[in-house]
Amino acid sequence: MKKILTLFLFILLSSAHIYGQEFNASVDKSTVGQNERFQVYFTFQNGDLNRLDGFTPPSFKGLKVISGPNESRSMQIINGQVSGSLTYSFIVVAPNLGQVTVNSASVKFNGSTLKTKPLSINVVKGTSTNKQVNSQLGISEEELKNNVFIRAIPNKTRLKQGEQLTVTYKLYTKLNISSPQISKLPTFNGFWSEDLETSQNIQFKIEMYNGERYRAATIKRVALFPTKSGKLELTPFELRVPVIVKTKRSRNDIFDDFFNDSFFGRTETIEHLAKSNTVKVNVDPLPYKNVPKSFTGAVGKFNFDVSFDKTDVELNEAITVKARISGSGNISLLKLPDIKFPTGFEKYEPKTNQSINRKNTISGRKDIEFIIVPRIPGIKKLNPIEFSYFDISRNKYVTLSSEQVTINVKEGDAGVIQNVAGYSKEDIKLLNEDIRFIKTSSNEFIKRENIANVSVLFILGLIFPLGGLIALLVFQKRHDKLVGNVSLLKFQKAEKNAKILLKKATKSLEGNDLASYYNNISQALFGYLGDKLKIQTAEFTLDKAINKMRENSIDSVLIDKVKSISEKCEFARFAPNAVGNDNSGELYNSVEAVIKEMESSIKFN
Amino acid sequence: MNIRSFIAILFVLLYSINIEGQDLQNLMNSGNEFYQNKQYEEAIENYEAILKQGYLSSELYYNLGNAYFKKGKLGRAILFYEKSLKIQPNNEDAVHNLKIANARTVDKIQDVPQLFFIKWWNIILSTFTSTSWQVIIFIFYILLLICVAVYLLIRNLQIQKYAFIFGTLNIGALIFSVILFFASLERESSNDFAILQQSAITAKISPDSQSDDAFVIHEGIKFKIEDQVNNWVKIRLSDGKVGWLPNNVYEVI
Repeated sequence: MKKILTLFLFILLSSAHIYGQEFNASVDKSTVGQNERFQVYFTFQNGDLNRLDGFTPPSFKGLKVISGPNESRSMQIINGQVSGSLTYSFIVVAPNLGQVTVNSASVKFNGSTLKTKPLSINVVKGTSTNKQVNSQLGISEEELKNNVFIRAIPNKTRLKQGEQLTVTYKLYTKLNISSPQISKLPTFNGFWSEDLETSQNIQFKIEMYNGERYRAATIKRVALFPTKSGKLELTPFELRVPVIVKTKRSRNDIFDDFFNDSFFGRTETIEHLAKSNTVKVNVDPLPYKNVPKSFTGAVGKFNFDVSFDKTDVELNEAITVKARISGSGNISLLKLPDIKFPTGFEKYEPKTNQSINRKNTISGRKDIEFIIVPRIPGIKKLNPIEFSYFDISRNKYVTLSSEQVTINVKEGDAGVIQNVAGYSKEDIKLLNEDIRFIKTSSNEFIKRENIANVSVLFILGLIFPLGGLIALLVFQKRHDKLVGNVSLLKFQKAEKNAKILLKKATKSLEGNDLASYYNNISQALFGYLGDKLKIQTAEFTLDKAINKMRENSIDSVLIDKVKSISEKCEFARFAPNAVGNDNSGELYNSVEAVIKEMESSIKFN
Repeated sequence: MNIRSFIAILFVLLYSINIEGQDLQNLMNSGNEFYQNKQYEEAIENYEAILKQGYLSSELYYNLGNAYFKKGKLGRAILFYEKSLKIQPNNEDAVHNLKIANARTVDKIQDVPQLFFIKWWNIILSTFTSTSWQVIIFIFYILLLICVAVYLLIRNLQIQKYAFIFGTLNIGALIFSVILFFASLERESSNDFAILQQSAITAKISPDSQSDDAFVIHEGIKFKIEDQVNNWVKIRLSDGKVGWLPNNVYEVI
């Protein structure tokens, strides 16, 4: 039997879990009233309960054990490994005032002995329950506050600007509660906040706080990055927690313990506003010395990487440039480095993309993607791109730089243009369209010199109609004048009429009508003189005509000539036969000549 | 003999003129044929031969623009479309093809928006060539003369009244068309605008290759030439940017 046990032990030892076994002592309240019942727990955790033996309870000196040890166990089997927790609980009463110490209990596990730490309990006068109960509900505000509260737990209280601060909000309770509601979220003035992932359901775990047992659950975890230095505060987190309390029927009942169970007791729900503590942190500024030029506020630990999809391109061929910053720190806050390209490159709006991992520390990556299009051929050197951050762990600035890239831009087919951004919708439509066909009809060519010339035809076209109009107007004017003045008309038509009569005379001569011949000749002369000298036919006498001619200061030789011819005509008119045939046409010619002479010397007045 | 030789000379002269006309026609037709057979290089040669003889037409420029476009020479294509439109602003096909060619240029320059009346003015101006304006002026002029003649010669109060009103309106129309005529004459004879022929070039801030870069422009862009210093010209883009370019990289429209 002993042999078997030894073997068994050996096997156990070889596969023993030497880690993690815990044996703790706790009480449900650290301050109790005199003769008040309270519970003491001894909990063994994280070990195979089968290998546990020999629980030795403490001496409970100065305390009276009412019941116990009561065992409660929970078990887990993971990958065939059995582990669990075993709790021994005692209900005890402290009969005396003052400090009472619960000594250590021990338990044997795998042959070794685990011991609890001693607990000290404060015993005060009177039953504490008496004090607390001031309403039917049987629980005071003070008690609620002590039993249900939130703790804000920062992972550090002194940090650098931009460094991550993790604050965990935990709800602690000793009472039964139902699902709480958020009443007021904390404000993080001066911080960039990023919620960390927490489990969807609130899971309560037994936790010790100030030596007391609570059920605790993490309700919120937040990563904060200070954006300024100095003393910063986080306002409390407020949660409205419905607390289920039982109304006690009567005190000191024998059935108290039994019937005060929630199963039997009447329960009521009270809204309790649980508030967290205010967290105060000191934020130190980043060092002012040796700040790199390219520093834009990144704090943490980062990698920087720049890549070009090609460096040997043709003109107008798009190049994709990818820059990636990855690492942990204030990744949401950091600005991407401004990348400058030399002239001849057209830069299009960059595309940025970030993915952030919100587990314990904020980490992730930020990608920036440029498209650049070389517009001038040649070999282009791009300056290295720099990115700087402040390394918390090394407490100094770090500058990362990409390699220098040389891009060879070859002269390509100029007609081929990459379809890159920057084209409007209409342009894209037009790009797909073909040009219209050539014109094959109407082939009239213009001489180069005739372009933008004022043609002679045009100028002539302007002058001639104008000339025509002016001529028309002048003619009209003259006509009007003649029509309005009979004497002028007569004056102007005098020669014409005389000629008509002379022609008649010639005709008469042909018909041997001498009387008519001379009559016509003399009429031609006298008519002419009358018209020219403004003498009415009825009033016409030769003397009058000669006087008028003198008045018009006509050459006296001409007057004499007119006079002699007129006399001859008169004579011939009255005695045509005596004069005989004007064979040589002497008279005719002389009349014609004198009219001609008169025409040039007499003027209208 | 004398008369015979004269007739002979006249005949030769007439024939030679005819030959020239015929020649141009043949060049154009064969150019068109080459174009249709997608032999753009030969088409360009034929078209250019007509230009070399000192003759041109809107259609010739348009066809030449098309041939260059097909060859992928965007700068020259745009140049010839612009030339075609300069002679015949209402050449709708040239407007359309110019739009397509401009869509393929690299530079997307936003034109400075024009005031509405300047826009209207340009629309009216581009409706007719200066030759057409001459005809229009002539018509209004003759009508005006007729009105004047009627007014002065016909003694009828009613008709004179109409002639006076119509003549007054005519004077307005005549003045307007004369202004437009001079404006279009100015536009046609100006060579202020040019098209860049190099695939890309950096304009400088001052006429000196050592000076700073002003901006980069690409083949096919239209700009105004404002000044010339030695081998450099000052250009202004339609968005108002000003820079200097060497004078051998562009062609004047």
